Amino acid sequence: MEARLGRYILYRLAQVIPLVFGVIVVTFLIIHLAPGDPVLALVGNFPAPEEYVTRLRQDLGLDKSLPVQLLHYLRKVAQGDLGYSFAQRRPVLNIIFERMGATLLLAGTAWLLAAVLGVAMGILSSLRQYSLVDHATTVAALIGFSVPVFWLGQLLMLIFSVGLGWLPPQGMQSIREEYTGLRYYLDIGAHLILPALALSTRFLAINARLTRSSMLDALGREFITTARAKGLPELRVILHHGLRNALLPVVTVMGLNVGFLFAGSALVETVFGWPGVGRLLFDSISTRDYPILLGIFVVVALAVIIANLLTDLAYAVLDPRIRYK
Amino acid sequence: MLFSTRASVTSDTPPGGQLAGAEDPGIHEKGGWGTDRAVGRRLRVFWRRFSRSRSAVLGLGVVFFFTLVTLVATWVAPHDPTALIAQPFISPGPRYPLGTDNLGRDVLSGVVYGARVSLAVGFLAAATSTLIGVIVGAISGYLGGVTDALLMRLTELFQVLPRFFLALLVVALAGPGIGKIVFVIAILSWPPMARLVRAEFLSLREREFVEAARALGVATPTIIFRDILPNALPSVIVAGSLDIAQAILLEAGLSFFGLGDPNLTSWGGMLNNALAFLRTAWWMPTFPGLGIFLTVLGFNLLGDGLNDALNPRLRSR
Amino acid sequence: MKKALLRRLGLCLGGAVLVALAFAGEVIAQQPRRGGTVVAVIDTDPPSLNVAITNGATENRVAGTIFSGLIWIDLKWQPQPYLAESWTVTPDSRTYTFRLRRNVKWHDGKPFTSADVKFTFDEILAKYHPTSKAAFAHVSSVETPDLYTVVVRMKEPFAPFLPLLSVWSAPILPKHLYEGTDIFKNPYNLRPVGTGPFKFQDWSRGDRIVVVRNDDYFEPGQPYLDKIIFKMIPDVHARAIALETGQVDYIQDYFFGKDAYPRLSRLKDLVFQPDGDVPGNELLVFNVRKPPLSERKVRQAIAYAIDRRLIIERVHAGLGAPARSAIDSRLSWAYNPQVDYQKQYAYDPAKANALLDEAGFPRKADGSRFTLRVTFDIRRAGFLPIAEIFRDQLRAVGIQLQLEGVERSVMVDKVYINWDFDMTIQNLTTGGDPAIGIQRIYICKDVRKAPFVNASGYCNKEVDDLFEKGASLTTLTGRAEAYKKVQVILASDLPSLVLTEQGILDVARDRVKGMWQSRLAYSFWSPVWVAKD
Repeated sequence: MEARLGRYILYRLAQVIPLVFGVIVVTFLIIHLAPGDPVLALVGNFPAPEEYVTRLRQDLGLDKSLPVQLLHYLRKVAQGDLGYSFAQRRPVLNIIFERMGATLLLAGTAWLLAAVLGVAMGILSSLRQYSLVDHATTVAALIGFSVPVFWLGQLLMLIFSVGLGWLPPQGMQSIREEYTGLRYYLDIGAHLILPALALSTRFLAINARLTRSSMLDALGREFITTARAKGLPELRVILHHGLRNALLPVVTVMGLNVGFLFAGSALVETVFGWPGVGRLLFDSISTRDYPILLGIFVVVALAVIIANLLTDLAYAVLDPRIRYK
Repeated sequence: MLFSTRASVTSDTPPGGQLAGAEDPGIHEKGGWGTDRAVGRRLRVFWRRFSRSRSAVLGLGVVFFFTLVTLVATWVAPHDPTALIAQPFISPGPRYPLGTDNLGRDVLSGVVYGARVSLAVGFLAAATSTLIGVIVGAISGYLGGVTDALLMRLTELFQVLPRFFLALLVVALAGPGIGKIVFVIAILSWPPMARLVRAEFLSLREREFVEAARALGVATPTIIFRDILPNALPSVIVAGSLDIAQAILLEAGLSFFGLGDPNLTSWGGMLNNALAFLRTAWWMPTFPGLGIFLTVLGFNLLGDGLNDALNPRLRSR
Repeated sequence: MKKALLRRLGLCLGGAVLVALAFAGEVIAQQPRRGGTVVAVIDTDPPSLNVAITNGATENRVAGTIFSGLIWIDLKWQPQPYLAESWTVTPDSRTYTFRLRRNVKWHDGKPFTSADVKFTFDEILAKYHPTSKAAFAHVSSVETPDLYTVVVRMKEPFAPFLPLLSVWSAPILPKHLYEGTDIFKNPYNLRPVGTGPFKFQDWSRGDRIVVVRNDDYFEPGQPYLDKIIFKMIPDVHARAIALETGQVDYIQDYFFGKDAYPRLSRLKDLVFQPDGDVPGNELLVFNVRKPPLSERKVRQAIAYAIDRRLIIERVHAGLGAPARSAIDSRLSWAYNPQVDYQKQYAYDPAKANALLDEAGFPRKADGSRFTLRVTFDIRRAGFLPIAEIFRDQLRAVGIQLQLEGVERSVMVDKVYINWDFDMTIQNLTTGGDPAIGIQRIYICKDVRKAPFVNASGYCNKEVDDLFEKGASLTTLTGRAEAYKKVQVILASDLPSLVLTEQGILDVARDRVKGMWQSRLAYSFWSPVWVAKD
């Protein structure tokens, strides 16, 4: 068993490299084959002296041919260097890492919220099938799955922030005050509530329904009947036997959701002015900051690949019956 | 990954209504399309099962309604949605049932024409991605071996690219245009379908009727499309209708970011426009947003209804 | 009896004392108070804070607090002393002699001298600054006879030279930190050292830039504020919300989404100020290189077909005014009152139809004459609704309009580099003087492949000569005469149709006082103070 698991891990790890390579090449091609000149985007709103423009162009290596640029880039990435931003004149990796924290905080909170609440609701629903709770959950889940997240974000902001004034509308921290210690974290927490809520809704819905159906599935199986016949306490039956099996598909879906979480986070970050990678992406599109755009893709794709890997491994660990074909 | 990510979000079959798996072999067990009479019988069985679920029928109703609106848009909409026909910011009333927007355009007409864009993009993009996904999945699942490995690597690559980010990027760079948007959404949406079809094919190709066909010397493409594919069709249809919902949301997201086609009136575009006037004109974001929500809801309900009807074994009890 | 009288007297006295105290309180309240923070809004991280090599809006708003120019512009458009204490100009306008303020220190403690001015002028502005480079081309030499004197000799007279020396277009950089370095890669671009009232403190990416009081500022007692926080809010609607909820205190015109104005104007604690910035215009530029727009009648027909008042009403919430002439009427000395587009091209679709028929573009079977594209930067607030208004109004005269809203650099590429456009909507600043911001749209020399110059391809020798005169004559009346003449020609030729005189609107909480004492208010923060909450 161990050897098999070990082999599987190695096998999956080996698959990561060509994937990353593929990601870089694809995005590089897309970006560079598109219209728009990054140099002129940096100049501002007035006629620029041509000398300045030519200088910038040379400086940024844009006058070399496309294949040469790609080779340069590949070599740099292999060395861990994601390039140098045109607009900000700083290493791309630094820029992205600065923002990554905020995005991870938001996406992570939303993911956790969706996981915990979703699974809980799902379990409750499955235990009280066809009751009011169940129907309410169903309807709520359906709504949560169908609502466009940016619309939801705006509505939440209007109701709770501008309308009721309970929560701050924008950003990650209070502008005026500079809190320290506990109040610092509380301040961030207050700013986190609405965006995390908006972002988590959809995944909460998915998790809730999925848990419900897979719990029902699991609870109907023979081994449950057997366990009950053995006289085991009901809670143990539900949790140990039922949930453990039911969680398999849920874990899978939660892992696969990571990619979509990043996507949702781009929308939510823009709506709420949250200083994360999603917003950085948006700004970089306007300024045609190619290295940053590429860098974001590589980083997010890597994150998704890692999440997939971890999900596969978790699945393999949880269900030893699965053959890794 | 044996578990399909196309999980059923709702399964609303009332108790006592299930048909135990043994009663009806379902389309899965038989090969090919069968005779006309057999098809007719199967359709009736399907409809019976489908119509038991209230939400599925509701979903069908909603989809039908919006599709109808799309088709007769030019007759239903009272005005040209791009024309400045009145004073701006008129709240909903008898003359302008959904009010007018910041430039004085009729919101009702905008919502009607917007349905057109959303549904057209949804259908086209989902249809294209389904086509791609089915072809890739079928070939991969049936042929196996090196072809399978290669195609699966390709699928994985596309699945790993963060979809919305990439769509934003491509549309921002290539410029707006409804064709480009459909293309981008389609190109980024086919992997889950491919995986699904592949999984189906992997299990179906071991069945007797396939072996029989092979023994008879039937050509591979014929086997794939005439014999195996119809059995995979139920899953494809279910996934396809859920894909439409996703495509509509994705297009709305792109338009909301201002990357939609400015020559068309779209719901996402209307929401983008409404951002500035949320407090002064609540009707501007409400109705287009509602349109997106209801349409997506309709397709999701439909998809789940279809799932319950076509795959009785995957239903939750 | 007496008691009652005494009591009444007492009451009156008491009342009088109270009133007097209240008055005194008011007076005290109106005195600038030292201390406090103002939170201003910007959109996003600027590429750098070196405003000598760029004139991006965000950079300017922030760096205006950190750097200084030789002069600042007061509300009457007159230059006032800043780093230059006084100056003299020879009658032929060929030589400027500036006497610099002494005892000015850079934020790192080193003294400010004429060497810094010469270095900035010669090595930076003349080479790299997008606006001033053209002006410095007229400079033949810069001399520094002593530490506090700068003598600038011009090749030929260039009237707008002096007004250009404000921090907006000619900030002075420290020679000791920039000499011999690569100006673009210099690390001080990201943590600037200037001579201004505020010092750079902190830049938290994606979030805020903070500047703090320069305690060694040469103006005694100023600046009053302890600190200014420039908070980044990329979403334009969110800025208004932040103002409403008290999270920010001040939104400068450039960052202010005017859609919010009707709503915000009902709030009691906000102050709105027009004219806190240099006038700008929205224009519809025609590509006159090919038909149908090469036909003057077609361009004029379009002018008749578009109701510019609708743009002001519906897109700009009533702010600003429809344009009257190629030269913004707010530059009153140069504007020709005989020219008025609102009269000359009053909204008249019938006339437009007639002109189009005359020009040889009759309606086809389906009612349309021809199709045109309008290209614009999709991110610019207002451009899309304006284009949508055009679409509706041009349809009425048989012109089908294709909207091409694209990302900014794609727009620059199409319009200014490849000249691949029919019409384009642009928003261009006048720069405060026709020689700075307006002539570039019309002269033959500026038909070149660079952003924000003459994209239409229009070239008329008479127009060129008049603009030339306007830029080089030494008296205001002489210049004005030339400018007035050129407007008449442009009103008839219409290579571009000026649409609006942009309403300028800054908004601030009323506790922020002392703002708006300069035409470029956002670079004049030293007299700003905040009343106690």
